[in-house]
Amino acid sequence: MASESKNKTREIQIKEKVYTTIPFGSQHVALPEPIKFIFDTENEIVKEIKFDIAYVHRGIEKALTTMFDFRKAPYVVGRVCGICSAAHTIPCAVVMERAIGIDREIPDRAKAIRMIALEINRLQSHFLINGHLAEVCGYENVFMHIWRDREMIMDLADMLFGNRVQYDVVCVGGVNRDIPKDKERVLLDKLNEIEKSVEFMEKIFTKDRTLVSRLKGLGVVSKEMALEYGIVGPMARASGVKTDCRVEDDWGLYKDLGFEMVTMEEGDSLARCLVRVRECYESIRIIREAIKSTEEGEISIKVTANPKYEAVCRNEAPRGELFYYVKGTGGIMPDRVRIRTPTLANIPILPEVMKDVSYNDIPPLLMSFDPCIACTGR
Amino acid sequence: MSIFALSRVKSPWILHYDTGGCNGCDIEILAVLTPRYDVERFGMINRGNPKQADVFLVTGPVTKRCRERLINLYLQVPEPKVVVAVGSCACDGGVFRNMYNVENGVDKVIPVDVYVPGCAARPHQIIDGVVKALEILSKKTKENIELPEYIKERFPSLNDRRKVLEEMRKR
Repeated sequence: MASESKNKTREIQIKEKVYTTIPFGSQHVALPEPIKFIFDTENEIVKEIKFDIAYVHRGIEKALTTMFDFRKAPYVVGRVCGICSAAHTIPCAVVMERAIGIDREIPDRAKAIRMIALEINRLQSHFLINGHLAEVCGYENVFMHIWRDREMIMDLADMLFGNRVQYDVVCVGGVNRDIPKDKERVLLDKLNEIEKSVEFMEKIFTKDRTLVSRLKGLGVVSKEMALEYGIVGPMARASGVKTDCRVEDDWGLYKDLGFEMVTMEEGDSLARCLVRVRECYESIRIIREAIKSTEEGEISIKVTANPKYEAVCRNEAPRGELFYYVKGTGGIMPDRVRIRTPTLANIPILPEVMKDVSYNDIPPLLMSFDPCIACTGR
Repeated sequence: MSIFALSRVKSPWILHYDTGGCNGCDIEILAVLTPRYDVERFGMINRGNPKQADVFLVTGPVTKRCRERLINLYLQVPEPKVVVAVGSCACDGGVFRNMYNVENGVDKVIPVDVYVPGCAARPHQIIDGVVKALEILSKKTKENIELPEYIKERFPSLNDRRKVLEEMRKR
């Protein structure tokens, strides 16, 4: 009797379509940050996605205009996101300088140190997400390998800037501390080791058969789609769109050092992952060039005026274009600060790509998007 | 010491929840699980299930939307349990203190046993804090449960509070 009813249900499941709603989040072991997804599935194929990203809203933009003066603003916006902290502090400092009108007087050494901070930040972010991607594909040992190598980058940040996550080295008018000669030598030695581990990562993501067949052709974003939705960062570059704010904005020395953009044409999860891996080489090269091209010397200028103009700054965070807008009226606090984060630009395409994908392909697909919720919620 | 109490301290399972911080501490908690720091030598595993957890790691300054979820998770963790607030903003609000959508720290919402300061808290500090929390856990029993403030507000009479305590002991 029991077996009969069991057989019956199995037949029903095969014949009819089974609709299931799967809630995911806001607390889940796979998620380090609170985000909520609701997947409506039909026989394991995802048909509709709803998501909620506003759990982490703290009100930082408002606080910048009411609680902190403009000199403290870079340190506050570093706490918007812990993964891309340097990527936030730099455009905030630059936009304040532009609003005061001193952005042309920043010494070259300060610009170089800012670039080093940004590139170290990018390296650890790319290591983090590639390790995570390997983990959700089922390669826990690759995750452990990549995260072990990531500790070398964290050590570098600790040595150069005095903290592992929040660097706080950038201030309005320059940077807070210089890199002495002996530390430069250690940095260059360590970069060779990091380059080796990037080679290891590239080997795994290009040669390993399981990983490649899992990620190839998953979640393809064509070039037309990328342009239509206006996506940014490594995601856009993986679809063949040539966009990178490091050459489009001129707060740094990227143009002088000969920056090469990494692009791929495929637009699938594997391409996004490989763009991140190959950007690591470029980051390492830029750090080397930045150290060679400048010498120890003046690192900051004195700031005497308050922000009084309107200004914008665009910066390439590890996840894409980061946009800062400031309107100052001569007071100690600006009138309006606006932050537009890269994940916000990349989210509208997410339901479009996730449609008609099998449910077990969702974690690697989501990880290849590299969403940062703390940035988006603010 | 009963065999249950002994095994609880030898192999504590962790529940981690981010209440709206900057991700820095969350990534450091993940780094604690990786080879350099290797917290598994203390028998700790990060489990997403509140009903299997002994140690509750909370990061972030508690935004207003996360408040209800935090209370819900806290009540689902069986007694005895310890709460560790990781990061400056979980301790007292940190840089986010007095922003309009923030509750100024975890201890405004649920009782906290160990505070781990730092922005972001270093992996060594997090391991240190969790090991301290285990000392507290070994002394806790189902008998000496301290009721959180918001439950005291909700149940003013002593009789009602006794009933709540009995329910918590059953879990």
